[in-house]
Amino acid sequence: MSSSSGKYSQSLLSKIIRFFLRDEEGSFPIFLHSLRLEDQLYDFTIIRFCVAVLIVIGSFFAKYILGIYQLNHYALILLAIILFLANTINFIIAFPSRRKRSKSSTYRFLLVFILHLSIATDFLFLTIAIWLVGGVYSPFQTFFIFHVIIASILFSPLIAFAYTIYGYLLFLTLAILIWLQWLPQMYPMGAVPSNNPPTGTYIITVAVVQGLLFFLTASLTTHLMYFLREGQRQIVRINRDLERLCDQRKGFLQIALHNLRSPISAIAMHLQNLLYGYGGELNETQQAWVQRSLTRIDELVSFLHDLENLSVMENADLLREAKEFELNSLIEKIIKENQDLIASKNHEIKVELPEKKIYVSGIQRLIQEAILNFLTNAIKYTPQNGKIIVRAYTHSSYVRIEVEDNGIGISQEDIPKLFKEFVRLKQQKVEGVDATGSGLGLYIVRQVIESHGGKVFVKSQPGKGSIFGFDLPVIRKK
Amino acid sequence: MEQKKVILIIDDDPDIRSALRVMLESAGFVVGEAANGEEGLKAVQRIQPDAVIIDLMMENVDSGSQVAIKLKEDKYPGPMYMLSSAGYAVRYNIDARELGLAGIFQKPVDPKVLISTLKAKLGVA
Repeated sequence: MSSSSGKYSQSLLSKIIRFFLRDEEGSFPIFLHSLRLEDQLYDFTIIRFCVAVLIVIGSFFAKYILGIYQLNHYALILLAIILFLANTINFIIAFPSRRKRSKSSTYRFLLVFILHLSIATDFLFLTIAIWLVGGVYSPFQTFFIFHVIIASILFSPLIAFAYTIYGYLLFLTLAILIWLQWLPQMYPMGAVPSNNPPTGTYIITVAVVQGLLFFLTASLTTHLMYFLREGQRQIVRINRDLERLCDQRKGFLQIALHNLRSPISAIAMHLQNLLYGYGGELNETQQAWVQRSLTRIDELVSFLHDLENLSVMENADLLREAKEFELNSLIEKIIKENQDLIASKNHEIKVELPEKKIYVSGIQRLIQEAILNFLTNAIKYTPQNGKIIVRAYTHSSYVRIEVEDNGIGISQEDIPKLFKEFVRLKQQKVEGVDATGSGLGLYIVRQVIESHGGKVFVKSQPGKGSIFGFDLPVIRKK
Repeated sequence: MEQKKVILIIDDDPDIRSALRVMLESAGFVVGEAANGEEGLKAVQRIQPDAVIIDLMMENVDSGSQVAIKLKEDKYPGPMYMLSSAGYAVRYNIDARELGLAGIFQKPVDPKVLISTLKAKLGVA
């Protein structure tokens, strides 16, 4: 029993401690919640300059326009000058030239110190200003609430309540000093409704009402801020979890792809050896079965290849990884590396490249994949002894890369579906063409090209062939 | 009688090695095998193959490239071919010219293409 109550009180205590002390990062708050300390202090310093100017303007306006003659505007101007000077010193110390600012904990501590000093002096200056503009009768008392709200937004609940108590004690001291007539009560008539000295009952009423207002405001604002921060913390936590899960998924995909690829290649190569009769002659039925198995394996290989590309694209950071590269030699390299595939179908390949080198900006391996995808499709979907042309040329501020074939072509109704995810078109039976795709390849190409500021296109006629291509912004070189 | 050409296969997958061996032996090549880069480099010294086929992905990512670079540095005189799973050569930005490769074969390797390429390169009838 005692242990459970001990546990409960410990948990309650820890909850209370956490409520009062925890900051946005869940670590010990040092006093401040702010992650943007420098920006916030800068904003408050600018506001404080404006307030000093407004006090001067306000005091002249009150005296000479509104006719509040009893207003001690010299004292108010003096207060504004002190506020202005103090703020200037703060500004110079806190914001030296950008070069000298540092991320060090000493600099951060300095900013925290200046912010606290500013808020503490603000309460003091406000108390003096309220005294000058009517003391316990002053309508400017509500500005205390404004300061309580600022403290509650900026600081941890504990510090916010400390400032609330400090502000309230300042106000209470002012009220008591006026009541005891140790400080004169000011009567700037017009700004205050009466020139009768405040009674003890009035002082007590104002003290109680103001006290309630101070603490209710602090309580509501700190609670509100607590829930906001709790929400923010949860978002940060969930985001971290999601990022972790996402990384796990990517890692899993990589391992799965790698572990699938090797055995599939080995199976395919052994089947090919069987088909070529290296293990003894096969009869026609056996050959057909092995051929069928190889076709299905080929589909699987290309699906794995597309999944791999999708994962590469997912992990690519275009802003960080984009580099300028040259297209002419890239196209030649792709063709050279796929000579075996071209030779396997005895296609004739022609490359039409401009003499002047073409440069683009982007992630080379992704653009390479896009061109490779068009090329392998042309090889696959063109019957034996076909003709494939790979060409590149510039037009206006773009480079156009096209892969033309005299293959099976695509019907007009199927063309709009081509670059969509998981679209597999119905394929007519053509001698020498037995290929199916994963439905991801062209979708990936479109994603890659569009992410590089380009556009894909296709022109095709069934039975005559196709032209697949894309435009990319070109880099002009003198 | 013309001496048979020797091909060294460097691949950590025994099934890929055995499939390639069957293909190459059927075409009259003599085949040597190595299961990793280090063994491969030693085997090149020992059997002095006429051509080498190196798997891109072995014990480490890209380790096939390292073998090719080492052989190029050692001034290996024969043609070197890289074996790569579809797209891997692209993904790891393999530059065949820079590595001194005679070509890249995509896995699964087509026996017809493999044999005709090697025969043409090595001048085998």
